[in-house]
Amino acid sequence: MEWILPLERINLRSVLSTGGKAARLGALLQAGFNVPGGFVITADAFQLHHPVLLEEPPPPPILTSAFRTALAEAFQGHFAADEQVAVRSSAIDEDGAGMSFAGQHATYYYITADRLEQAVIDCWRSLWSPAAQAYRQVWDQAMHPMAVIVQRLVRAERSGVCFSRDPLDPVPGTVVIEASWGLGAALVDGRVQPDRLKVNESGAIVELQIGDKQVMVPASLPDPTQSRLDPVPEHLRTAPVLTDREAIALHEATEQIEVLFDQPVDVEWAWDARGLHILQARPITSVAAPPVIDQRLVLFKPVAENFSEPMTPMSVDLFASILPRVGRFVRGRLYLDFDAVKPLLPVKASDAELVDILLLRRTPEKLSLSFPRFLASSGLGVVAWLGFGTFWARSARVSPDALEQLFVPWLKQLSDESPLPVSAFMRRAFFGRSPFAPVWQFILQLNISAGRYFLLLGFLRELIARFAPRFNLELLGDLVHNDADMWSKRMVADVTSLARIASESADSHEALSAHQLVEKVRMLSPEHPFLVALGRFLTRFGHRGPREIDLSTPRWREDVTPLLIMVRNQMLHGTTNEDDRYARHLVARDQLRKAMPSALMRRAAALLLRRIRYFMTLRENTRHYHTMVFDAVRTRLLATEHELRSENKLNCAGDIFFLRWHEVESLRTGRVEAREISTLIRERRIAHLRETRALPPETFGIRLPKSKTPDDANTLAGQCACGGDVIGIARIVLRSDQAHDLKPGEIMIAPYTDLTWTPLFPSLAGIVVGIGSYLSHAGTIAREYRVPCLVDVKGCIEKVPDGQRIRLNASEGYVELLHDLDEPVDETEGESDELPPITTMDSARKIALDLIEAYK
Amino acid sequence: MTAVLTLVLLPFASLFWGSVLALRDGGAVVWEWVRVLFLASMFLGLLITLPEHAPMALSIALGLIVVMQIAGFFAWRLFGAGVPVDDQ
Repeated sequence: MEWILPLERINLRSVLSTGGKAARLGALLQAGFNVPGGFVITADAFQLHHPVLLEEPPPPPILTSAFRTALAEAFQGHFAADEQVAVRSSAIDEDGAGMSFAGQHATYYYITADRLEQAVIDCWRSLWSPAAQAYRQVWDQAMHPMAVIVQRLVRAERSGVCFSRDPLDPVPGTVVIEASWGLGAALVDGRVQPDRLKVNESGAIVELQIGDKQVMVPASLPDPTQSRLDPVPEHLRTAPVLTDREAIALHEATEQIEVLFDQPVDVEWAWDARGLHILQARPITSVAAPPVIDQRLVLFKPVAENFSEPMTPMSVDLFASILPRVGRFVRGRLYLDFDAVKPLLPVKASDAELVDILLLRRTPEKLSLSFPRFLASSGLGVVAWLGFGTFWARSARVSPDALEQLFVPWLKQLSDESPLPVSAFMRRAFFGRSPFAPVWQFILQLNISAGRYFLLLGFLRELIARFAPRFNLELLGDLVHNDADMWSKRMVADVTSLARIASESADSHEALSAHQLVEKVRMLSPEHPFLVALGRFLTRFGHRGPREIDLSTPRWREDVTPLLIMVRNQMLHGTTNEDDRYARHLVARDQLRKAMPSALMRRAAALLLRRIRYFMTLRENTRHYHTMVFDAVRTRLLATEHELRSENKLNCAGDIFFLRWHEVESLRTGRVEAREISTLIRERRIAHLRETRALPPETFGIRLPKSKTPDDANTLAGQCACGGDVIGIARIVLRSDQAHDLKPGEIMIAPYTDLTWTPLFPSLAGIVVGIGSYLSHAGTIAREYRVPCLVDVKGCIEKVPDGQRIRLNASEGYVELLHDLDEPVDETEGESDELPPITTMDSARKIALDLIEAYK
Repeated sequence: MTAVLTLVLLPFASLFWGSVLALRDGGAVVWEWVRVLFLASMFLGLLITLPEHAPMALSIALGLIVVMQIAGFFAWRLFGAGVPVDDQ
């Protein structure tokens, strides 16, 4: 009976006494891989202290003196007296071919000789952790003894995981690598968004997604009581973790390990000053199963196209309580219930056509009316009108200034004084106190009610088509050009103004152009005009930020980095000029005047235009106030999290967003244990990261004909949001604050866009977006700046390599990958060759000036 | 006749009640006054010209609008909102 075995003496045959993990490490060591040295406390030692194995957790064992001596001697034999080690579980059934038990048992880092015994006991006891028990129950596994590995702790500068097959797309020979800074614990626990690379059979990197690595686990921890999560230095957050050569070395090592074990594996690795270390290798046992849905669902595009990532569980929980009951959240994304919505669409159409309408790919105009459905939807409309019709009149003339002056103080008062719990606060902020409460207390209904501008836009289109057939309807966007009352426009104007102020002074220009721009900006004097203007901006817009729909995302007031990057983008590439847009508006108005001879119809068109502008402004501004509510809710959640962390009920910043509100309340009142919750958080973080990487399925349970795929493998199809045909360099930008490499004249490839992307648009040759529609942010802004734009291009992030020359023919709805040998460089590269009638800013401005002169 | 008149008056009653509340809320005050006064004079005209049917029709229309507004508010809060969340 051996209690302790050095790793060098272990191989795959030792599995019954050392567990799968240790047996594989031994095999790797014998095959010549660089595995950190150490020893294994065998299952015999476990059985010595746990003679009977029961499902109920026993009291902590008292170590025998003989075992304690053996353990101390083993430590002295392998490590220096003050060395920190890693202590990891290696249960006999763990990491087998069928079960991975990944993360179900304990691992401890930074363990010193004096804490080793307790760490071993804790590792053994993790056999009875709720997570491990649940895992055994789900997979119908019996309980087995546990061995423990004690290993040298690699002072990892970088670490990560390699999959010898992509769990989501298992192509032999293609290795997926995930990498982050520091030790791998942050990545394995799902606390960091890692870089993700795919290296193919021939060793070429075919996909690279740079993650925003906000936290890391440091290589050493002098004080074991302090938090082990450090913020990643700003300049490293979006820097690639691995060089191409290192990625290829990892690919080779992973391939060799797959051959050694004769099955697909995932490999944990770490890189320190001494090179690559293999920390663990285990079979790939499972991939995320698709959700089982018993309903027919269609993705709710208006949310998805402006935020394609899944929402965190807390955001889902709170949003679910205020949204109308016509859908369902699936894995953090909102779907419409197809069978509930179908009867409301009064058109004769197949399921596929209705799905296209709901995904905003097709307007119902071209479909014929279904009389029974028309009757049903009209009846429902009358009932809805009786209930909410008053609101129609109440929302018809809310002045933007009155809304601001009344809503903002009311929300502040509610935030300061209301003792309501978070979920009730959210409902109160969105639903008002009583049916007769003032209209600004119904900020969600105001937004929904303002959606009537779609209807008015349809009337205007019809009016123009009938009474001004010569008018170019592509100028409709210029015609409804909005005024300065829109908050989003004020915000973009303020960003432009910040960029102008920054560029006027050499030191602020230099600070914003630097790599570590936050540190450099902080070094400016407090009276510097840029910092004064920035302070004013944050007072007005500090509650906004990128991905603001999710409560877990820091607002600009908390993290100013994305805003500074936006200002920098505007300073370096921005060409926003409101005068040009106003000039185009004047030109469009003049063209309509000329094309519409009837004065009465012109008045009708002018009235419609005024109403459309009013409701567009109301809709946009209510979104601004929604984000104020989100900000107030986030502040409350952070205060609750702070309280729970001070009581050691939550471990890390941001954990609260991976719980639901009732779980937070249970944790507060002690109805659930912190340990159970921590396992739940870990699982949800990992699931969330996994979902973040994938685009959401557009439908569930609806049988659709197979979509046509382009004939050419080099071509991707999408929907035209703004016409044009350009050739240029593709630049993949995953987030607006990561657009460091984007140069003017390039074609931006993005998963989706929101308002923080706007300053990037004017300098681009073209835009390709993975999800979206004609009315999405990308489509709307691209039309404003006349940048060719293709939306809903599935797989564009994965299939278009960064830096590849591409042709974007938005007018015909495709992107083509070009190969230099096939395609001569075009003289007009980067410029649109299909232009609407009024094409350039200069010509629009000239015509407008002529018109102003003529009116004088 | 009263029933038909009630149906005809329903949208106007909704507009009137909405405008009264909008006036209280503090929107475009002048415009709301114009709307309220115009609709009030229209109702008054009806009461004078159709004294047998208009009082009842107007009362029902206004009453129904107010009751439905209250019902709509609570229906939305209690039954309308609340999207199911998938646990998978």
